[in-house]
Amino acid sequence: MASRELLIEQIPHLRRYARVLVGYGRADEADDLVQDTLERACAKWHLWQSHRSLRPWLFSIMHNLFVDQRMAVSGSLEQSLDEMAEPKVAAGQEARLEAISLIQSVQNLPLPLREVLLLVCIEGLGYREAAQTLGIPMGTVMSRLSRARAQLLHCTEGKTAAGRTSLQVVGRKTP
Amino acid sequence: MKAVDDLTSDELMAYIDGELDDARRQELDRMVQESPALAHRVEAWREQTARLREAFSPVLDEPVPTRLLHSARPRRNRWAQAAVVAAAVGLGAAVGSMTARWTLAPRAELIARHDQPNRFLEQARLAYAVYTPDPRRPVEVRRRSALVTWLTRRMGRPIAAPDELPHGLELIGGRLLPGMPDHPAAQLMYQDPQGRRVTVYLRGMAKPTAPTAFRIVDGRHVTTLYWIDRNWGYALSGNLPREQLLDVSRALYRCYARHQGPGAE
Repeated sequence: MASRELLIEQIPHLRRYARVLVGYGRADEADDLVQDTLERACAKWHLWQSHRSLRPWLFSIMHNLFVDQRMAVSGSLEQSLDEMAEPKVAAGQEARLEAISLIQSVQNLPLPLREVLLLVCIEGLGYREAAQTLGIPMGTVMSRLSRARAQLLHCTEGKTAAGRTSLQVVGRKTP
Repeated sequence: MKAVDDLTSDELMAYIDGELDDARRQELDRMVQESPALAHRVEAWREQTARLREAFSPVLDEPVPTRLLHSARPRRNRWAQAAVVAAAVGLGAAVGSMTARWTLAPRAELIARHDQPNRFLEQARLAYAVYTPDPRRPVEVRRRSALVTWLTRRMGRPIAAPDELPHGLELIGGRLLPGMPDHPAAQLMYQDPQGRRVTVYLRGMAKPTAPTAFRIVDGRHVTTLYWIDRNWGYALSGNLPREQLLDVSRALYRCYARHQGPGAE
């Protein structure tokens, strides 16, 4: 396949990752980030080795751009409250309401947690690939992932008010 | 149930994510079958993953904006690119140098060769004089996040626009300005509680330029403090006491030295 088609095929996934990074209610800004990522990827295209999957490579470019831009703006990665804009609710979509509240819960997670959650749970990257993408050790990927999942379960279960004492059975082994 | 007690949550998670080798996975399959509590937990996580995928999938079906399609043009390596350019130039020459573009290109190069700190300073002071007195539209973009994203993209490097600078200066917004060929300039505007406006003007220098220390140039109604660092020029202009401008410059210098990202030259 021509390289341009390969790249175009990835755009929807880049848009999704960008929204998780920038905020789900800020589609335009997220697309700005996608555009920056595509431009950067095109300029560095000769650095991509075709035996590696393209998507994690693009994700790592996007992650780095986002972190650089965010650092340039505020000097930190703390997100401000106004970033948590409400996702849009399409009329007559009761089934989507649950999804929207889930998106909101993900959006409320700290950036490092929601990034790992997206890469592994939603995009289906392996731990090693996720670690390479974010430039962090695999153990960090796992601990962030387990925190993200636990916080999310806590959130959604808080809403359904179903306590699950049985979850105590499996403990975390202290290293 | 010794085996279940020894199971770490990391391993259980690796099981759900398909990260275990076959042998270990089969052992866990058995454990999950035998322990309802474990099965319950695995089920909860699997369900969560499924719901996440569903919630985040609609964006994949949205039509892709054309501007993104236009940005997806991978370049071959530099030599191949150079060959394409050379071919295009050759063709252009053969057809005849009739287009404005053809005659413009060498001239732009000529202008760039004469870029120097004086010209940079002149542009910065001119931009200050033109835009700060404007009561209604001193800047083009006010929202900081939009401003930063836009300028960063157009300038090809991270642009920092701190919300506040020393002496009560607060960000009003900014704009993109013509600078030199291939080197647009950015202007950020700040205002203090007395309503005095200060601008930060920056752009890449069109030819390699030696770094300078802070330099101060006094005018009748404006003082400009400028410096050149890693081939980028920065100018702070305002009608404020020199000491105050120096404080502000130091803050800006620190900000930009820290955030000069991979896009900077």
